[in-house]
Amino acid sequence: MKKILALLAIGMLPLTAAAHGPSPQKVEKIVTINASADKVWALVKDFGNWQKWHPAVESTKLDKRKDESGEEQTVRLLTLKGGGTILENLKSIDEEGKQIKYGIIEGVLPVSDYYSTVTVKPVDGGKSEVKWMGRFYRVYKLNPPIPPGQDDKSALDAVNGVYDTGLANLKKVAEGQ
Amino acid sequence: MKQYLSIFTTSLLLAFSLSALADEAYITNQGENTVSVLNLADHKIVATIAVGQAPVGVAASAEQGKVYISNVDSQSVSVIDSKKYAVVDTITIAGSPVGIALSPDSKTLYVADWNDSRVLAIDTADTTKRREVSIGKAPAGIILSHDGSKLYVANRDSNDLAIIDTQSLQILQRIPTGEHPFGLTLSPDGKQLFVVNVYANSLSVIDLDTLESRIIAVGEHPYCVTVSPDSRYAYVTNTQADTVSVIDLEQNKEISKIHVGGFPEGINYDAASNQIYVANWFDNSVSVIDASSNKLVKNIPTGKQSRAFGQFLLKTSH
Repeated sequence: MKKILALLAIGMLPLTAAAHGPSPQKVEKIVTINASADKVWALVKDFGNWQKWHPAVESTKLDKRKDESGEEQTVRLLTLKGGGTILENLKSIDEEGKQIKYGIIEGVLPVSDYYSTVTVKPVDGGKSEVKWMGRFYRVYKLNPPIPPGQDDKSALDAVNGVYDTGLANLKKVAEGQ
Repeated sequence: MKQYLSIFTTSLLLAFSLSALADEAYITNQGENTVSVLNLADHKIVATIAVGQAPVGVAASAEQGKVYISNVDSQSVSVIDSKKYAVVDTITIAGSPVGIALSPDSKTLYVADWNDSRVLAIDTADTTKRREVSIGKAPAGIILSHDGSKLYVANRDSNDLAIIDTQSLQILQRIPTGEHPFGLTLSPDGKQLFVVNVYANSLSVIDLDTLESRIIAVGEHPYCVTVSPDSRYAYVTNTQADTVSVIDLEQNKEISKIHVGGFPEGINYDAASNQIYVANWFDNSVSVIDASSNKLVKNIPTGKQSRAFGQFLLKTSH
């Protein structure tokens, strides 16, 4: 947990929607939870309340705003424990496939063009499996030398930290421990 | 006996040549630095070839029996011998090679270097012979006209398409597109150019006679495009919707959405089978679509983070 906050602090830079580095990075994490898919999905799809299960989130403010094309979108401002915020937009919620998609508009994670999906599926024995995937680029978008904290590793470490701690606590919360 | 042997040998040779002549798809797997070779006849992966780091673009030459792969992180192009399924040469590119395309006669390889905003023209017979042209910011998708006289370049961060004369390497025109143009293709009749606008969620269709363009809405965060052999339908991968938009180019609108694998990127139409191949970056697979019914046929596991950016089908059987 401390590690995540430290990583977050490094990346206190505004994100832009401009060019990005050459290769997109990927993080994929899966956890099996001893609770029904319906129960886990209720927690995951509640876009305005991830503080109920993610240990890095202090509070969430849900809002609507217009995107570049003038379409209204749902956004959330996450305030993190220890400071810092992340503004994210909801891309879609698929009830049938139990999948939520969202992106980052701006915030303290040292990433750019971040896009993520979380999918819940039922597995044998009334359990569920949660898969959290992310695609993003590092902050620094040009040729080397890359400034410290803006490289691929910094981006990967931060997102790995967010997913690992988030899924571990989602399991605890859903299993009622 | 001799005759039997001769028949036996002939049939062996025939069987061998048939299998060797099957059309194939060369799929770059960014996350494991390999290329999966997919046989289009039986949909089996026939080879997995180690290439450079973070492979993305593909340009295939049936004439040469070679497939060129751009490796963005190792700043190189891997040259694969398609009969041996092995890398036979590596071309160093100082920069970030992404988009890659061959001239129709396979004599010139064009490589877009998006950090240095230029396109290299490399002689495939002697890869030290190079020319280059500076263009717009972050050149991404590139393709040649059917006669090889023009090179089309999507300049992702300049929001335009450049038309370059391949003889003089001069820019003839720059045509505005939507925001963040990335993948592009030419209609089989050569009359229209299609450019995918990633941030605008749209497809620009450019008439190459008049240079006028029109915009058609597609799905979320689109990436690449392919066109049916009769130039009637365009197919666009929507990376953040996990779908392919089917666009009727007479009605100028989307008529169908096909659900494919997670984060679909590269897409090519195989005219021989009327099947469409889509590389899925999230799901490490290739989706096969039947173009006559617009239905998903199957998903085939490939390697990690499949991209297949460009013209990735090797057409050897005809």
